[in-house]
Amino acid sequence: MSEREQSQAAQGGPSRRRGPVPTWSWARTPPARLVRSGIQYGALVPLLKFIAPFTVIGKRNLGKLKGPAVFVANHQSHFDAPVSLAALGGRIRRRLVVAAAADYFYSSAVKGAAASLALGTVPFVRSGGSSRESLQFLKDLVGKGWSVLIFPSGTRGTGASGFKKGFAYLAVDAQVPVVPLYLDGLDQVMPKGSFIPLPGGVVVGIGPPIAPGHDYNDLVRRAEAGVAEVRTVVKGWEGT
Amino acid sequence: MPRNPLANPLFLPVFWRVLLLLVVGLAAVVLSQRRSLEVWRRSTLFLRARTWFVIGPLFVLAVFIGGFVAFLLATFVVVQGCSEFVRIAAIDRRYAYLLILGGELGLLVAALARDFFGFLPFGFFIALTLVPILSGRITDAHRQVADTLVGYVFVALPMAYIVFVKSAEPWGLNFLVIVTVSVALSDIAAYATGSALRGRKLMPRVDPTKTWGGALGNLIGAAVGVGWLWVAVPPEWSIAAVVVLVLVIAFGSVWADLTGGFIQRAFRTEVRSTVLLGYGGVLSRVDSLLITFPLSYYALILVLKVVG
Repeated sequence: MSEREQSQAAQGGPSRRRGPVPTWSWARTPPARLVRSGIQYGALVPLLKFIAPFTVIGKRNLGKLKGPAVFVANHQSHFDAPVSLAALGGRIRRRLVVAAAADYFYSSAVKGAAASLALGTVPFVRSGGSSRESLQFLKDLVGKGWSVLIFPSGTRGTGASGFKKGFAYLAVDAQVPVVPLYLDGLDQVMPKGSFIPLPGGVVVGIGPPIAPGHDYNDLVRRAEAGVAEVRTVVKGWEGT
Repeated sequence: MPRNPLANPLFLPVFWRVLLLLVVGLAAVVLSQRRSLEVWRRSTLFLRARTWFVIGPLFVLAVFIGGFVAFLLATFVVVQGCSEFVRIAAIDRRYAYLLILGGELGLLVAALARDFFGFLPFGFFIALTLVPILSGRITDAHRQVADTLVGYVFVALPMAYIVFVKSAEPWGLNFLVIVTVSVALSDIAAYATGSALRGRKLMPRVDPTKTWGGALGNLIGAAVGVGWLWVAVPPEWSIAAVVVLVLVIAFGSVWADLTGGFIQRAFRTEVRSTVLLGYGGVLSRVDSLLITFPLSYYALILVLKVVG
């Protein structure tokens, strides 16, 4: 199957069936968003500033965004998503969903509900036939004006390369820009395998938006290069 | 309980003096650099100035409000400082959590149960030994216990001393403000005079960057700091006590520089944290205070007892 065919299959055809993957749509209703704002402004962001005080570099790049975007970041820790949300700021965060591993975060209803409500996560099936449904679901959300934060490495601790193509299908098919993020320091705060954070400073680098183009593989390469470029800026800044 | 800082007649004089110091310091840096604003904005000095403009007023407000506000600030320093030490010394996570917990408990004991303050170091040692006993992991345990103890005495215990002195002494708040501002000025003056005068190295094998010129700056900074906050000096302190205080603050600042230097060299690690922009981290900003504070407190007590 060609990439375009794969992408068309991912679009799910005219029926746009949801299948067995739940969408947790209640978490994007106005009351839930209000509760989420309260949780994030009142507890999550202050707590993160205490445990992992973060500095944001390149925030002016967000000013160039006029609509939804796909944010891609390196993945080191369970703190990646909350710190990214806090770093992106309220304007972006209000209409942003986080693609979270369905097999991990949605393994139980309570865990899924808590993640959906507090962080605005949506279940993303990482492999198998349902992954296309997940992708299609994300495209629907982008079509409705929602941005998506995704960790294309797939799992924690894999660095800023080896991105999987899911985000590229999303960005190219929906024709929305990709914004590279680089998170530095969270591997020290809460690496894979640890469940209690060890506080420390964190830097979040935000790169300029990357135009989606029409080639999935090319977009993956450009996004990897974008994240690597932000990494260089962040490391250089820390050395000052 | 938190208090209205404005109700304390000392608050405004101290607040304005600290603010004025920051403005004068910023102006001095801008004039000495003579760079374009755009270049200067990206420099380390600008980041440091920015950091000072945040932590200076925040510190004054927190200590005058007191209660849980001051406790939160102390907690932040303990948690971040201990975490940085853990990374410098490559301490195992289970010991690290105990170090942070011990630091927090020390703050609580110092504020609420001062009778047990003397038990803190021994109690922490006993608690530490429980880690290898209960986990059964004894390989490298002696090194982990020893390094965690160093972290406790270097970072956590002095923070507990700060809370202890502030709550135990009628002039605790005055002492805290005077010593903190003087130590900060002492460090800044050491950096400025050390860069300007250079001169002979103080202890080249321990810290190759520290010079006699810098040590002179420490003394000048300490004297200016105490003089600048003369309004906070309690009437029961004699002139001799104040002179000794200045000398001990300068001496403690130099000692802290050398101690920080040998600790980082001993562990062959320099942790760069981004918690305080422009500085290596919380620990490198407060290490002088952590050593100087208990030292100058007991020096002052001794002089007040002996000389009066």
